[in-house]
Amino acid sequence: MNQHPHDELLHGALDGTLTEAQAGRLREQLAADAALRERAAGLQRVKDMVDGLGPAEPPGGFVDRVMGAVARGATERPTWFRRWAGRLAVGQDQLFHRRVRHLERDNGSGDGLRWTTGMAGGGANVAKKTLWAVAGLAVATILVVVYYNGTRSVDQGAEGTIGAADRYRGAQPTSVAVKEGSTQKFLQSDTFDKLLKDKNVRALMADNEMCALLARPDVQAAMTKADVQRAMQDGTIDAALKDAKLQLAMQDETMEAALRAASLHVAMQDATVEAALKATSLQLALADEGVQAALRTKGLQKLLADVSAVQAALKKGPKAGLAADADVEAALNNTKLKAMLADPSFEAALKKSNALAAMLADDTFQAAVRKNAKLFAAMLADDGFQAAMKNTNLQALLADDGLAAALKNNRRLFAALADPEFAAAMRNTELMSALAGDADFQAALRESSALAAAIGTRAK
Amino acid sequence: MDAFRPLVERYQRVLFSVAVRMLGDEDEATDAAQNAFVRGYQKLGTYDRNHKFFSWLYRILVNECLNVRRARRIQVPLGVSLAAPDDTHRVAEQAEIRAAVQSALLRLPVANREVVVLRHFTGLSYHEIAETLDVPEKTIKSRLYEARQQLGDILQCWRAER
Repeated sequence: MNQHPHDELLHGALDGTLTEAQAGRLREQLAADAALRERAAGLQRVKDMVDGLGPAEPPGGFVDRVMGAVARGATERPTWFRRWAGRLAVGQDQLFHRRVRHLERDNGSGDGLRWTTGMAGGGANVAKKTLWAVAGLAVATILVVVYYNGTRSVDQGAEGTIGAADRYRGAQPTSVAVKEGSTQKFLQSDTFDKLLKDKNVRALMADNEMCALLARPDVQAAMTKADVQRAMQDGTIDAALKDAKLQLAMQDETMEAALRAASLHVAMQDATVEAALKATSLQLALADEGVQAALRTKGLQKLLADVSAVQAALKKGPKAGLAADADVEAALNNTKLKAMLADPSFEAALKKSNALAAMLADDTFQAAVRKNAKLFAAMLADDGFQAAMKNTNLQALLADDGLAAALKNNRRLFAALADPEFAAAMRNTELMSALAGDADFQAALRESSALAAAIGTRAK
Repeated sequence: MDAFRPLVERYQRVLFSVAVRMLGDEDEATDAAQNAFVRGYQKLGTYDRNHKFFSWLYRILVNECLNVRRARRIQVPLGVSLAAPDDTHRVAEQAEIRAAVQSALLRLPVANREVVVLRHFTGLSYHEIAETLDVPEKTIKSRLYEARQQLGDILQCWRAER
């Protein structure tokens, strides 16, 4: 890419590195050159936008999490590796048994020596393939053993430097010092031993941030509920929880309340309502203060419950005797409301059921519309959002007060609820009963770095 | 080990910021930053006190980011902020802009991206960036200018499509 003749000065100005003389020269050139001013403005915009990203805040408990990992000498395996290793553990077991059955069939007795000493004809191919399979199994086994034993990973070529670093650090403690009290009691309990046997629970307890989440009484109460448990086992909830608009809406109290309303959940199950929500006429109407006020009146709510009354009112006007209500009369003078009522998609939804009318009449819905109609209406019309809100298991999660409160401003919890490993950990009955009433466990969750360190020590 | 804690506390924010902007995914950035600290601790003996600690740690972080990129999942740079929702519409609009900028950053060649990230999110001077990346200062400037021009082009397209 060719450099612009004034780049040095322009970028220097952006980065504050110009001398007074250079700045003066740039000012003169800018005053005389419109194209240069435009270029400078463009670069300034880029700089402002990049700066606007701002610093990112590490997740809560990050320092504890790092120190826990430092104590274990372990680096984080990427998520894909954790999943793959889990599958491999199951897969290699199945493959092993299949190979054994295969060999038994080929060799009659299943004598292990026969296939290692070679076979004639087609058997030789089988033997060759089998040897490759066994070699593969051996590699897979090593990988799995390395993973589960938490062997310290060392960079290629870094062995010497690690040795030097070890000397620099001096002797490491052989056991992890654990704080006195409840945490220590828990770490010495049978419950801890039992929990350690479950790899998903183990991973959970080694994660400071997840421990902090589970230490919250509202999260604990939610996790032990049957409908929440059921929802987490649902494979389809993953995409719903990842919906960015849903996460954004859950940060706003008013919208959160609207999203948790039963009337909205019922309406979102109806395809005609979904189509009506996408109509421009509805989007415009909801953004109109007159329509918002009209929707709060009993007269209009009653009218919306009867599609034939709506049709007649639109055709003949409210004074025709079908909706002789002052509120309705006033409302029907609003062109945006009339356009919404006359929209075929709106009419189709009203004809199908009273779900749309009930949703529009709901206090929480109206509050969200009043707060930010444009955003709320756009959100309701979004395909991904509609798909997410249609998920009944997600609705069950949102309906739980404690969980909804915990989900607010907590993207990690959103991710956890969608994670099969987290769901698997939550199926552990020992963990459930500890969450439900083991005070020592609660203390250990709060002392998450001690918990993580103890897990690391046991792994060794 | 306790002596290492203040270093983690001091550099966690800058290291995490750099990782997020380089990778565009907060979970991956958390893993990369954590791994960088662990490896940093393991390799403390190799740290040369004549250089900035951050520069040394940053090189470790870059390797961790590359490891994460090799093992990368489908990337969805959300850009959804955890800012207080006093004005949800404004927050949504800002989130959209941030997502576009983050996405534009991820479209830059890695060599250009890291210069932009180091300049904008760590406050290092041209000279310090050159030292950190072990390339001449002239190259740093040329990469930065080019990167800003590329970002401008990408964001202009984004605005036009909006």
